[in-house]
Amino acid sequence: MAAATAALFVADLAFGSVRIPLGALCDIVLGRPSDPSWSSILLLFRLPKALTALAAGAALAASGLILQTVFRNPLAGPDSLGIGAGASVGAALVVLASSSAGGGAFLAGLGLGGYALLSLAASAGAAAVLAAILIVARRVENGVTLLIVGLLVGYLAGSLVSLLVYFGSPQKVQVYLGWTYGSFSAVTLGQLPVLYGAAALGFALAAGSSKSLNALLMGEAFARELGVRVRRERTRVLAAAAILAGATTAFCGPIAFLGIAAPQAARRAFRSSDHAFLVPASALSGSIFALAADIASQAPGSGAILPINPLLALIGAPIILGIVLGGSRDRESIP
Amino acid sequence: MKVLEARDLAVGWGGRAERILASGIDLVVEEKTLVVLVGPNGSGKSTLLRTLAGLQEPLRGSVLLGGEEARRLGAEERSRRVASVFTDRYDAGYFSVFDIVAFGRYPYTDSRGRLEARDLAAVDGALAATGLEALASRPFSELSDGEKQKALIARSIAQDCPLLVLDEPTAFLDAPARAEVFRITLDLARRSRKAVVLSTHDVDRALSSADRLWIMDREHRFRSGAPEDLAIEGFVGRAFDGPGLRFDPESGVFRAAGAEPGAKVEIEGGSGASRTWTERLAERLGLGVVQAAVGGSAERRGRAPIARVRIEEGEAGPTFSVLNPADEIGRGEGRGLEAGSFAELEAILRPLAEEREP
Repeated sequence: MAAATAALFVADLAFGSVRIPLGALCDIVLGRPSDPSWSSILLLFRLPKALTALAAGAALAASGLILQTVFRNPLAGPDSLGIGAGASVGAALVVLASSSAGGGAFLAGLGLGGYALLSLAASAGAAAVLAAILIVARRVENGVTLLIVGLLVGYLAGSLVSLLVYFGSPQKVQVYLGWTYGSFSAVTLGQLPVLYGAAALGFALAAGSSKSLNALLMGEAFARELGVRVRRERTRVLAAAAILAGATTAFCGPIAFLGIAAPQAARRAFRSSDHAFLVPASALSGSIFALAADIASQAPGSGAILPINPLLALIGAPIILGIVLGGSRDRESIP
Repeated sequence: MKVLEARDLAVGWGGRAERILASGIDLVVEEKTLVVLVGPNGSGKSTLLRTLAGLQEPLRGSVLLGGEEARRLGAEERSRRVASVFTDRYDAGYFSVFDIVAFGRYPYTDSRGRLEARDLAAVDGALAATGLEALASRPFSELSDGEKQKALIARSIAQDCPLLVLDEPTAFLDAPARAEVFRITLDLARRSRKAVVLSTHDVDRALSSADRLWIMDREHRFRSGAPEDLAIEGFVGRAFDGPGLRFDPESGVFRAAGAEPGAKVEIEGGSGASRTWTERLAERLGLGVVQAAVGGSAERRGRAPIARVRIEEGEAGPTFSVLNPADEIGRGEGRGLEAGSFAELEAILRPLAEEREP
């Protein structure tokens, strides 16, 4: 899996509207003199993009895995907690409502500053929902209640976005919609440390919780019988899931499919329920999906760049279907 | 040694809509004992067990685990003193039986949950105690209900606590599996010196195997004692008697209520199984049984038997001759109706029994 990830990472660097040969790739990475235009394409554009896809895929998959385990629901994903919806509200507010505040100039062309603001607002939206969920999680005993709260927050945010879109000008709606298509290319080299920092924090929390996640997979009652402090552990892993999903959504837009599909793929392909293994395995499969989708979005050979979200589902859904139906001996609904 | 003690305990649901299910409960559980809790549905058995296992806060009073207040123990320390299994259906994903049993080591393993030598030894011991060695690598989700229940009991054994609390471990199980679960719990109490507290609806087995019987009745009153004391003092009957069922302290079993036998049948001859099952047939038909008079001078109080059944032991099982009282009972040698099987005997007796019903 790691090898496949590495291969896709290199391929993601090489392919694009301009094709960079492998030899030149090595030269640039090792700092040897090479074609300056290739070098700048690689370092300023493709490397950040590939690194973003790598981290975003891993983070979304791990986040989805945690949520599916905590809610014992195979359909749970980063969206079930309303995190994606929270980020959308943040993004929509900046893009759509800023005009009424008068400062629409930077959005017209949507320069670098605009994107940074968009990410910031989306992060804030995700963080607000995250904080609300964690407060509820500490007080609520039952995971299903929490899932319902998450869904309601999602609908609430969704209707806010709808209203904003309804009153927004067509141009701005277009910009907002562009964000919702998802993209790995909006993150600059300077922003990468933020994304990687958030992902590292989330992964550290998740990796330290594999024991609790295993117990939680069996259900809260089961975990409690073993002396697991369910509320504390659940709050911790939900914080991890929210950080992972929140950071990614803020920078790359709402990428829904990955968070649901990648953990399913890892779980079924390796027939494992052990989170000490599943957290890294899901993360890698998430990276693989994200890199593959990014390569496909460059549509090798053509010049066009396709949006990530539709592509992910287009490529991913048949693969997942194959895995799920192939293992049809598992009649049980394995979360 | 007192493994578990409760003083003036009140159990139920806390919070805003507080509801006390049972109160004033005092109990002590010593090591090496099997305690069986019985009571009708809704009497609060599970609530009491959850409170004793520290999974639910007592509303009043206190629970002591190994002499210390349960609520002062942290969740981890508590899970080293009491292991519990509550009725639930688990979706175990890809976890194997071994994995499920190894969950019992959760309170002892490091933050990554790695199993050390002593953890592996505990898991192997638990698998052996429940006879699951051969199934260790099978996925838990593929087991039968009985095997699942044994795996969960194995998990609680691996947890290595002086006290095990099992909530209805025999629910959903067929008769052989029920018997085996009881055998395992008895073994735990006898050989491993553990205290086992379990609840069940199998009152007959509770009466025949428990060292201590706990009864919760419909009014949520709690009573603890030797099964024999509680049976003869009428507490078993008080908890369970209803329109359809009555506990008969004389025979120690439950009988269908309302079939207070009026008409009687006399049974003569036969021994062992043929005798037992003839009496069971009579009971099923709502007939009382009187012993056949020896020497003809039968002392018959009350109503005369409606028939006399003579059991003949044959090569291919018992055969019967039924003598109608109107002419032949008492004379002893008259020819009655012959029956070659219990079904035929039933066909003869049933009309007689129904005829005499008020």
